[in-house]
Amino acid sequence: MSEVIELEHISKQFGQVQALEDVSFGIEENEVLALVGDNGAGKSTLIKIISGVLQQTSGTIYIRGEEAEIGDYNDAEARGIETVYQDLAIAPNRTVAQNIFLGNEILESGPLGKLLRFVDDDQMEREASELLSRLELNLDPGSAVKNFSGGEQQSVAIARALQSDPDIVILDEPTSALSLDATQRVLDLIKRLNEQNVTIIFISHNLEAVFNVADRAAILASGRLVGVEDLTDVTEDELVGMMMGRARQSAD
Amino acid sequence: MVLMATTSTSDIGKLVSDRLGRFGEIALLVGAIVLLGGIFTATSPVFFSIGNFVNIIRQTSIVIVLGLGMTYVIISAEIDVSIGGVMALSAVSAGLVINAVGPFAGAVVGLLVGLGFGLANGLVTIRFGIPSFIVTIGTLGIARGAAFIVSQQRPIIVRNAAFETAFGGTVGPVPVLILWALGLAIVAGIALWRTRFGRHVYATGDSEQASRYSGINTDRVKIMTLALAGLAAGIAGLLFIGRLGAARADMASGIELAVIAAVIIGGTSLFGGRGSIVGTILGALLISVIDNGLTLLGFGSSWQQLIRGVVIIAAVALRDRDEEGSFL
Repeated sequence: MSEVIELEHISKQFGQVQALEDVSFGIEENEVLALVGDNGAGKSTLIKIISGVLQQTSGTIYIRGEEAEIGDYNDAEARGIETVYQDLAIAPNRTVAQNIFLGNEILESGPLGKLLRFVDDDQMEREASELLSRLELNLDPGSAVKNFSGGEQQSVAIARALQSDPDIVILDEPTSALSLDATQRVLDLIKRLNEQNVTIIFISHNLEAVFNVADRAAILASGRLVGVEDLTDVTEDELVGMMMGRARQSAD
Repeated sequence: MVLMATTSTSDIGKLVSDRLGRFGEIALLVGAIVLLGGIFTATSPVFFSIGNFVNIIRQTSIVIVLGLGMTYVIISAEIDVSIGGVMALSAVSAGLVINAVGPFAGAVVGLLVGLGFGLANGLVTIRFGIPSFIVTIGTLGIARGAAFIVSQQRPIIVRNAAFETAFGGTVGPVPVLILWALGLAIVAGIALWRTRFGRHVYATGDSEQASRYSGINTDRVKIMTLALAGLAAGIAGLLFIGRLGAARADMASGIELAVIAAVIIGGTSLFGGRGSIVGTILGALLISVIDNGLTLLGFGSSWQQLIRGVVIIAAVALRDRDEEGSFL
């Protein structure tokens, strides 16, 4: 498998605080990679660097072998990277379709032709409907998002990330605020995405969810990479130990 | 397929009420205006006449024009309490320039003063991270004080035929003031409802974080909404001169509260993300109908203020309750 993202010696400092120190690993094409670690391990900082929200103090990011400077959200989107943030980044009074196309609205010519273009709600609802059915989500694209459950709202946030047809989707704690039932539905959605050849970076505290959907896990502790493990080779207890900062006592 | 059936727990009733919600709010406002109109018609012989209706709309026009900008500002989850002072400074400056140079130059100066203050409100709010409420309390004082200084505390009498035709005349029986308000409302309404910028105004107020994560420049959106409110104050200043033929530094004192009340009664959420231009127009008309009816019945401005206060609280109490019954 080829690597879609390669992180080389990534460090990030906030004033006196070393949030990340010399983190290097690769993310392979079409895998689900879990990023795990305790609070303050540097997971969120790392994904914010990959998604352009923060810039690393030192180190290099390669995307498909090419050195990439990801200065902001638009740079990340242009490189096929979309991020769904932990805190349900949706606009509750807007419809599902309007959320999916937020910041990327489809326009049609108005009465002054291209001089004054209007938002094309019908087209957005049609395309949102197609996207939702591709993801097997039965949500009315014309209904306000606040009408839906937490799990459904998270699904809308994920659907929005997919609207630009990205290669790589980063999910920051997508199940942290959800019930068991809703969590399972979001995990099923992640599996379906992966079947559609989307590479996924999945941050979670929920190790059961990690073992449920991920192929490999990158473990961070106190800003350092402890290891990257194939999840068929490692037990939950070993993973917890590594999250506490202990390198794996490997027999092999 | 099983998953398809289980992913949606949304209740059809909730969806229907959501879809009807916005129209329901508008219908409620129209109903309230008609009901009050009925009561005043029954109790005052003068209320139900074309002359009185034109009078109500004319009195409302300036509040509507100011309300257009305020609707944008409040939907983007900011507020502007400086509009009365900015309107006075715009009018006084425009009046002086009309008399000294000409109507066109005066109108441009009036608009630029409004736009400049609006832009300054936006830039200071965003760049220094000071709440717009505080910034605009400051600029209210600055603009009002400047209006007194510029006018040397004297009314500026404006006698200019071209300016009066453009802002103070009539087209047939209809005052130009009403046509200005109507035209501006149509432009503002379409821009808010159908353009990308309008959608970004709603999104910014609804969830600034979601909007920012989606690549919307929420700082720019907020600066622009505050600039628009300033521009609306500049336009209102010109309309005021057109209507009364004079500008005074103490004009439009306290108008910001009437405008905010009209916007809130019209269904715009003080927390941002929700609202409409149609609602603001109806909110302003509702207040004017109450004021006009009470005046005709012999109640003074004290009663008008009292009842206006009750209406604001009642409108928000009836509307902004979520499903759990707590006030949003």
